[in-house]
Amino acid sequence: MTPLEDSEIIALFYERSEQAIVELNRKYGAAVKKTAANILNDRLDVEECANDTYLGVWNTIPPQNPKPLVSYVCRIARNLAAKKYHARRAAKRNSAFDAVLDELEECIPAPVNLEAEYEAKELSAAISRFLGTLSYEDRFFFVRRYFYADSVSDIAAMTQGKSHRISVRLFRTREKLHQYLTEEGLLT
Amino acid sequence: MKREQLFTVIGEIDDRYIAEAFRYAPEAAAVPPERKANMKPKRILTLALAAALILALGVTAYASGWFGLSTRMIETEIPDFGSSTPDLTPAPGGFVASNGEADSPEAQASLAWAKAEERYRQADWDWKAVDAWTAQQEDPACEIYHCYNQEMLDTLHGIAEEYGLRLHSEVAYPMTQEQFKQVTGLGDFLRGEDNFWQGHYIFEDGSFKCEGELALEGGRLVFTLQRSRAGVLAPYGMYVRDPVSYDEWQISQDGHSLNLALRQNDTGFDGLIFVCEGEDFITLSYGAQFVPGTPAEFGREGAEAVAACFDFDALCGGAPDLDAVNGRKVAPVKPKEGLMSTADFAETPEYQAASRFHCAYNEYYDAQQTHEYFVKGQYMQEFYAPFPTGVEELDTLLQELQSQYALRVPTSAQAIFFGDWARPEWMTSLMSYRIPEGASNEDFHLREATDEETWELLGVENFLRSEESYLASAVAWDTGAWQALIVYGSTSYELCYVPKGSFCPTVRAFLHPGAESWAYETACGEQVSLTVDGEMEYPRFTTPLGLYETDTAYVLLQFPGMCSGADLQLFADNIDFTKFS
Repeated sequence: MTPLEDSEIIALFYERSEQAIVELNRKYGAAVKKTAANILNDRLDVEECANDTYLGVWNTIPPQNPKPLVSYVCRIARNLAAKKYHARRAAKRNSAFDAVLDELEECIPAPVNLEAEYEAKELSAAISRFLGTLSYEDRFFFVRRYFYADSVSDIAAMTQGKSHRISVRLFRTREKLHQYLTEEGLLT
Repeated sequence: MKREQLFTVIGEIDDRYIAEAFRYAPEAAAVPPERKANMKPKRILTLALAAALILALGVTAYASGWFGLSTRMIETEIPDFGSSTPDLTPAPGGFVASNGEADSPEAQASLAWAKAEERYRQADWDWKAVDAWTAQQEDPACEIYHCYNQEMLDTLHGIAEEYGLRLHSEVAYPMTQEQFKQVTGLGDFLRGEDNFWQGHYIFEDGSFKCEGELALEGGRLVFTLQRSRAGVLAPYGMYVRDPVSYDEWQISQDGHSLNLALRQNDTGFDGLIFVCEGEDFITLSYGAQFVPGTPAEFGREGAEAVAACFDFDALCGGAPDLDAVNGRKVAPVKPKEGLMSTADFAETPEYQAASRFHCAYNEYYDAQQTHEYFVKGQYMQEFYAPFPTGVEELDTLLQELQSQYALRVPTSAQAIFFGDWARPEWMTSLMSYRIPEGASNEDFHLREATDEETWELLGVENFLRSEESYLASAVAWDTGAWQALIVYGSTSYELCYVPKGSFCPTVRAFLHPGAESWAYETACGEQVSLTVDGEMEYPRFTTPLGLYETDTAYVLLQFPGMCSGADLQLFADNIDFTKFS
């Protein structure tokens, strides 16, 4: 059966129909679990995160009417997974996810005061503008790696490419991001 | 900044890009994928020069024999790829097949297969099972059309039969421009010395795909070029979003009718060129994004300048000969007296010490990876930094190796990493470049390295024989050992220079140290020993090797992963071994 359109799924949420969760899971369940699994190192935690994501969506739609829906759902899953990850003890840490954080820290090493919500939003907006200057592939690689926290080999499988080439491209993109943010005056 | 805060910041990027990355769909993107970002152009073919070419070629505009976007496109719903354009409202669009007008069986079949593929790709695949099934298939269509299981393959055959078309039966993957010309029988088709192209694949009927870049004033433009022929179900087509936004017109160039389409907005442009000549359907797609703050001008003049870069005469005809790539054979010669085999090299202290370290480093690296999807035992990592490593078990091993083999161990290094001077102490492996906490932005900023500086770092003259080849990276240690990453056409490999008596950490361990090698006379006249290293033992990859010996050093060609004996010979022919002492 073909998945419903996003608008049809959102309509079910507005009707408070439990079928909304069924349809959401059918269309985006794999993406939710993959996003959570990239961060968490435990199957039970991934399941719990997925369930919490659906609950989060249920509790916020309505009044939210997100477009595109996939971004909204994956962002909730990502945030919940990251929250659960950071709350863990060291023994359950995920070095693959740590590697993602390491790479991000490489290209934005200078201290930026993120206590101010405004400055955090400004940095997000700048990164979005930067993404708009990239080719489709470089942007795809970047978002899959640092938003979805995919491994390089997963990205290679998705694009039928080679891990080596993707790693190189990510490295160059991080360099460009660093330069871009420096020129924007966002790095001291 | 706290890493957690940074992760949160990334989480708040524009929704468009999150949705766009939900599924990989480069054919639906406004801008074709970028290639060869690290290629340095020597001179620039400016838009002004290209415009002069238009005059020289006698390009004129007329409007007959229309084979443009309007007649090629089948109206259809475009799959949900997400959108990177400001307007997220689904736009009307269509599908353009590579080898026929909208109402042709070729176009209808191509669309039917594209729709079927999209349905299959949405499923969750067990990739190990896919690999296992694919390995058993003898039908060449399985690889050519990317079928993951029997149902998919049956669907493909069903569509071909329904529309009375055949399927492609053989494919070759040329690695260099020279191979591409041998396989296609075509000559040079791209004008301008700094315009770059790379062939991707060619089928038995002469259909092919290649990609490249044009150097235009203000930046570079990427393009995809397809030539297809009628009578076959083509494995590729393209979706076009919002076709009414394209400006369409015709011109004549070199006696050929070119149908052009161009769409432009404030952030960039993308264009299409269609040429139909006899049995050849040529589709050129290209695009670029404007650098923020620069004038946003391209227009018909720019599109015609792009067309002028291509010799469409040279793109038609030709006689395909896939054997030029697929039929290459290993060509052993009688070894000259004293030629060292790769098995003999495996007995040397230089190899013994380096290979033990290589294994230990990879085991250490694997032990750090705890993600459930990480595959241990592939032994693909190399350690580039100077010593000591800072890891107790590795440094203890290093001391043992020094004591046992009496080799000079490097204590300092210099590195050029993809065109910039790098800090080798921050490089652990080629894929990892870690900046210490507290480092300043000045430390991070890398100075660009010139080609001359790269050769000076290695202490050798340019040893690359092909103009399609260049050095992407180079690391040199204070023992005189060095390693360079060579890019040759669409592939890359490593050359290690190991002075006798020195420890070179990047010498890889063979999977089969006693594997047979053969003597090969390279294009420069020198003999080398080559080995493919035997069968892969999952998950461990083999280490094909080329070996050249001088009085004072070993020169190694190392290949990450499997490659054929014919490919090894091609890579060895690219090296002028007479440059090494």
